Amino acid sequence: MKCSKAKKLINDYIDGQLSDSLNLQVEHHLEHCSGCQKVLKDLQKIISVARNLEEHSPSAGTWMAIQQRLDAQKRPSEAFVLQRKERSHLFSFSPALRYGLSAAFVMFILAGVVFFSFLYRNGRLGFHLKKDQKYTLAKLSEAEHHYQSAIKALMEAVSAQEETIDPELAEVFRHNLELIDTSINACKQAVLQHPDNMEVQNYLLASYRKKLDLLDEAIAVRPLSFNEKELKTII
Amino acid sequence: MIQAVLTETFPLKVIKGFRCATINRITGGWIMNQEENTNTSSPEAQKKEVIFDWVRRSQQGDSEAMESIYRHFKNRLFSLAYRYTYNPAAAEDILQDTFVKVFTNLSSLKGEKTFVGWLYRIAINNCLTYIREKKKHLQRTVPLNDVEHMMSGKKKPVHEKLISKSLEKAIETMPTKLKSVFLLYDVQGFKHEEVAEILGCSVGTSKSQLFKARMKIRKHLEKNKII
Repeated sequence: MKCSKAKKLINDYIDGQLSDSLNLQVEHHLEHCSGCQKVLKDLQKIISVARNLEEHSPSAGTWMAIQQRLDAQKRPSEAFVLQRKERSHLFSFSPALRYGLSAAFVMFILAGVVFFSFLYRNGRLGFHLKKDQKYTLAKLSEAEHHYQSAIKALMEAVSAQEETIDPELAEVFRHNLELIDTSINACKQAVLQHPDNMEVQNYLLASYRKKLDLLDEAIAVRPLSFNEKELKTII
Repeated sequence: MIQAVLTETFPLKVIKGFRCATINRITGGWIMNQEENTNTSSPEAQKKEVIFDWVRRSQQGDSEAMESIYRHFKNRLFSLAYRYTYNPAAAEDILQDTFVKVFTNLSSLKGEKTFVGWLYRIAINNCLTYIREKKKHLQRTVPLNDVEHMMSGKKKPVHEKLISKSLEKAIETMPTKLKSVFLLYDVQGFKHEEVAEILGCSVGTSKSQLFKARMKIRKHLEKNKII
């Protein structure tokens, strides 16, 4: 056997891929050829080092980044599900429209508080606290307490899933929440100044209701479990 | 669009009807013919079954199973991508792209036994796409010393280390086709039949390119008086 042929076969010889007869021929050649022995030794060394090359590791945050990208891909299917169910929720509108509607609501509440406070200060409403009104105020106070408890629970739920909400929706959510909180604070101030004004109390409760609705909507847009069929339909 | 994605992830010719050789090296003979009889009691077969179970569960949207798949293959695929690019940031991007593509299209995979070959094919396609489209990234490769902190494993003797470094340099400068076969066969431990399936070439091509790759590396090491 010539060296040129032997060298070509050495590769398969190392990998144990030769027939018995070819194996013997190569071994016979190797016994008498120091050049081919050197090739064999070198290749064996290369293979040994290659099989023990050090492994490299990706950074610790890679899986999280992959998950976020997968979640981002899932969202279109979720939006589709919401749309198909024809949900008329706040979040099914465009962000601009959602923002506008919430802002309009808050402005309406604030305008109401200012208007009635003004009337009240000028004595034009002529409120006189009667027994049934006191009862109503107590009920309003109780309702306020319940609203606050519900809001607290929902806020915890929303903050737990805040990272999973679409950034655009999260931005709208934060804006709306700020506006409603402004409204609640304005109503609270008005209630402190005019504790016997039921209109202002009603506005405060309406603000709480709006906040509850908003939080409820935010939880409703939580990413759903992965649904391949829906995703395929979207794609 | 699904069709487009599938075309992109299955661009390579698939060798039909091959039967796996008996050698189980690092990967333990990952790619198997559907008809192949497996000894389900061996540790290798049990390991494969675990992976097949992860694949089946991932196809149903189980995120824990997806994470298990990621954790099992992350170092191997990252090392593979790193040796195509010699750029840790690019390797990280390729790894992310690979798993996003895999998990997005997992439902279209027919038979969990083809998963590993499919996964590697997507990873290598991503590597080749990166090299083709983003050559500028390759211009700012990171010296090996800079990524030593990312390496895991035992400390090697000085001479062994020297050979490893030279081998890495040789791999870095090797033509892509030779590199693919060398990385899959000698570094990752696939068999020629598996390499052929992943790369969409014949077993003969895989063997001849491996020979060329090894001889090229030998020449490089000889030139640098390492061997």
